Amino acid sequence: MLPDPFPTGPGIPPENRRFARVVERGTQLVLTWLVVSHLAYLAAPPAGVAAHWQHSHGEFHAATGLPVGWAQLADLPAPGALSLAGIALLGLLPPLALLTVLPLYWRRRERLFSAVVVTTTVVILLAASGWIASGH
Amino acid sequence: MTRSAQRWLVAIILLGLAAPVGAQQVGGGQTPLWLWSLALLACCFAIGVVAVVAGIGGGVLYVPLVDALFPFHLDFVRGAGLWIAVAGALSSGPRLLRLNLATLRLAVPCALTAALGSLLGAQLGLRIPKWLVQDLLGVLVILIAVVMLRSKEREAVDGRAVDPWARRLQMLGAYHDPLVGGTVRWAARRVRLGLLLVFGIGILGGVFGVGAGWAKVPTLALVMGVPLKVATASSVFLISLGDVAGAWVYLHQGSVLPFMVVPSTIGLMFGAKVGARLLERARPEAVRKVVFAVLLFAGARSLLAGLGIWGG
Repeated sequence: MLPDPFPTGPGIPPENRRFARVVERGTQLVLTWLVVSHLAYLAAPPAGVAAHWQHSHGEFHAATGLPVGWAQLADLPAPGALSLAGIALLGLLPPLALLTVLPLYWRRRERLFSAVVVTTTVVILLAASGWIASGH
Repeated sequence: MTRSAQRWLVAIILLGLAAPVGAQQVGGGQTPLWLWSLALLACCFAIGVVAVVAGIGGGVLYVPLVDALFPFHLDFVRGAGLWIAVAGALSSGPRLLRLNLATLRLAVPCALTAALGSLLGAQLGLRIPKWLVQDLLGVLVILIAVVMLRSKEREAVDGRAVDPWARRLQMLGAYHDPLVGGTVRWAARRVRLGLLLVFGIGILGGVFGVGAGWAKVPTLALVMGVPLKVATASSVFLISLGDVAGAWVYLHQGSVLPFMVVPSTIGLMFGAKVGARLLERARPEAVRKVVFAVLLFAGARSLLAGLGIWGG
């Protein structure tokens, strides 16, 4: 016999609804941002970058002198940095949505699942911080 | 698939393959950025259509095809591959959650191990030589093509007791299935094995820059005993929550060109919408053969490029 699949009552669980709402609104906003920043990039493209596309990421940055990671945002409001900021916002949506549903699990005293949500969020945020990519 | 739908599918595939070649010819080595952007949009539109009609993720087509047809280094193609997989998963996820097909109960624990695997895979992937990644990717894509051609949709539904970990984490749910005419209740089984496999799939996804839905869906359905519909929908969430970790590594290593990510994402999303309409009139056998041919081309090209025989 399967356990009760509706511990919070029948229908769509409130955490699913909340997660969906945050992701839906965030994605619409970010996609609009990306389209606008891309058009701005095409209107005034940086010179010489296309010549190094076929190089590896290390060679590309050595040749173009472009920064990597969060340092790229120092060029704001340049169109390339604006696009990258949009991509970064997209990558922050999953941990943000997880944080918004955490109180619902915590209030129901689901300690184990809450711990899983917190750990997943921390792992993504550590990756987003650049701490892991820098080789720590 | 009706004859007109079949013609449309072939025309879209040809458009996708011809666009980058045309951009290169028109530019003659000095192709303007807007033309590359348009070519990416057209190619990714075609990939989006084919991916939905075939029921596979876009990444497994995107990485080998864009590597073959565009002048971008594989590092940037894999970086873009992961980010467009995340963008696609985020845009389709809310609808699946509201249909009760995708569930956070199943996706979040799996996402934790997938994220750890993806982090490890992305770190590894950027340290492996390009030729080796191309060869491994080529072999992988050809294997997927063969498995896809031979496989039939299967579900592992058995009557064994619910896994204690599934009970503790409440990895269970129910959804309304009009085909069954009622509510389908499910609970995950073999949770520890499933989480371990998802970790391994995360590594593959990180190395090759793909969402790897082709591996996640069978793991959830066949190993963890989740209904196929829930497995397919929840694997989308696994991509948005798990693969985003690897995507961040590519970004911080400087392997993400925003110029590639934006038109690719938009093209794939529009393609997915058109693909969903074609899917209504699709005959699985015809689609399977078309996608087999595309995957075989992409895999063979990647393998030959890695061996230094064709491009590189």
